[in-house]
Amino acid sequence: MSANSAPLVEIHDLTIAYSTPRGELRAVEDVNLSVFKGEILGLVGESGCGKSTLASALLRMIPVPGKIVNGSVRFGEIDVISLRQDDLRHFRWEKVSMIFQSAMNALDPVRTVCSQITETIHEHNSMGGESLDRVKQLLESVGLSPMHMYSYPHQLSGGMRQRVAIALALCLNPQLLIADEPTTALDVVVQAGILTTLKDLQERLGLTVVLITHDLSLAAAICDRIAVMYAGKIVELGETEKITVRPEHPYTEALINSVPELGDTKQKIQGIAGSPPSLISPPTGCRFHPRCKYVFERCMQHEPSLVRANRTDVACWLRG
Amino acid sequence: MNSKTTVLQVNDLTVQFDQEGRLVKAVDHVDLELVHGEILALVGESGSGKTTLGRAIVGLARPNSGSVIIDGVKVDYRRAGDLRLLWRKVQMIFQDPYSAFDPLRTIVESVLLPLHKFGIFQNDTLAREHVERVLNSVGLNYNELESKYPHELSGGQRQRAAIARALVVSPRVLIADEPVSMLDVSLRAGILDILKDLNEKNGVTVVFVTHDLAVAQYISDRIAVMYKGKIVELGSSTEVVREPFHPYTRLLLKSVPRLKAKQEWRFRTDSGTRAVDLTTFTGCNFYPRCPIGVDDCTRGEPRLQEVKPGHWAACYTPLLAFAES
Repeated sequence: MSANSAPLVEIHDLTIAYSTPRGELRAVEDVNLSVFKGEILGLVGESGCGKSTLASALLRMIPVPGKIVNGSVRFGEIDVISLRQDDLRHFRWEKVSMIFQSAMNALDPVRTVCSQITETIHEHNSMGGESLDRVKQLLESVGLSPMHMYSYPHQLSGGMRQRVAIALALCLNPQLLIADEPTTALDVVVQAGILTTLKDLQERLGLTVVLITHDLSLAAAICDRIAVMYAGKIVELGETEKITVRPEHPYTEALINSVPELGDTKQKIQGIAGSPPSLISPPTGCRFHPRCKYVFERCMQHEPSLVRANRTDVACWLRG
Repeated sequence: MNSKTTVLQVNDLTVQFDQEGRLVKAVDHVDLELVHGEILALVGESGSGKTTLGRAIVGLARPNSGSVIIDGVKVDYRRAGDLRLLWRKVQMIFQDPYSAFDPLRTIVESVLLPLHKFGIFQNDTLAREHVERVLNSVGLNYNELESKYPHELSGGQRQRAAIARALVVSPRVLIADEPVSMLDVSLRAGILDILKDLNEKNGVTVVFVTHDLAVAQYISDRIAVMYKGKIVELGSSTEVVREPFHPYTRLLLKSVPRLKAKQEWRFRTDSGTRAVDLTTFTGCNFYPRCPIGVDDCTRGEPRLQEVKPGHWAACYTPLLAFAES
């Protein structure tokens, strides 16, 4: 599906750095990535790999003291990096919106669901006349009964709050929704409900979603494509089935082998030795080489770039 | 030692909390028996009572009724002497390895502390040698850690150290409360394998509390599924996953994202399928959400019954539940 449609977002050579007392930390380095209209793209990696920083660049919301050092982010015709402050205010939420791990923190505890959503609509569009109907329709679209319109966040369960956060994120009809670990704080049954809702929004409204998660199986559940990140770089990118069935990059392979699969009784899981490198002074060559079991000389000296291999795009010297 | 000796027995245990004036049974008349050397996983969602049950066994939550018997001896949680004996035999590791250590003590000091408290080694050299061995068994090196403080260790190393500290007194039972859920996935396998390994070599019995069914299946011999304070299904890990008899277990299993299986993300997961007045309802706890639900379910709570040898479910229609899959 995605391959034929136009890219909605184009990230080119993007480098984002945080200045720290110990030096410059490049959380994202030389990343190239396109997000296509109507797809769900998974950004997968362990903590500190740069996935959240990369996503925050789509909204130009990089946490201080982070700075875009190099590269560009384009959203259709819009150059996100050079947007004026006024235009940025409209760009956020009208074009791209975001939901977070903790829905409670995204909602105002002393206001009803309805008042939060209508406020957002009015802030951006003073003509929002029939907003009550709009609130009902939004809640229904995320699988919530409109009877929760006048509830306060604390009266709702964790799953319902996350649904309200999604409704709020969709109230100005954005084309892209960024979901940063949206189910991490939720129970597995509730998580399944949220995943179903995201999939449903994609299918019914043609919504484009970037799903950030540390859990590859979760990404595999609903994503069309998956980008695996390690130490600030995308190391593998491809269609979900190709990534999960026979990955090309040793890190992706190791990630898959490190989690138990339900129903598989013979599996022997294996962790990845060592720990992720410091991004202030990353290793030379391939950043994964100190932990890679296939490492050879070239990996230590030269850094591989993301190129098309047999099945996926991969940054590894084993694949040429 | 006979490998079928019962090490830990929980009888009719109830733990109640006062929640804004309303009494909530976090653990509701639970019976459980663990034999020497087994790993039992307690699985459930948040609020199911799995953590409270684990904490109650080590005396961190006060049981309201029922009893816990370790190695044939009943624990009286009101007596300091009993608690001391209990902690010699039952140790716990926690979800958060960051807050489990005193930040002002070195890791080695923290691991040595239980030995001093229990007066296990009179001789410092012997104690040191013992700590070296225990640290080694969890993949840590004494010399490297000698002067290290908790903040200088990575999350994975800290959880290893927490396991070492629990094992240093050679307990009979280890209660592990979500020990890998705060760690990155690449580090989880290491911790799980250490627990498996220690269980095989030392025969330490493990109660593994987790919300993750795949992890539960990987590590445990048996799985107990909890729902609203009760055990609703209990059986060998393989069978509970392959042939679940309780509709709640089925719902849980269906909700877990699987990497290698095609899944349909199109099911109703919302609670409250049936409207029930919970203040007066005395039927099955799961009835309001249950996709099956027959008249019997409203009449009284189902008790755990043995559906197949060694495989128990608290459901009036266990075979229906299985057929529905």
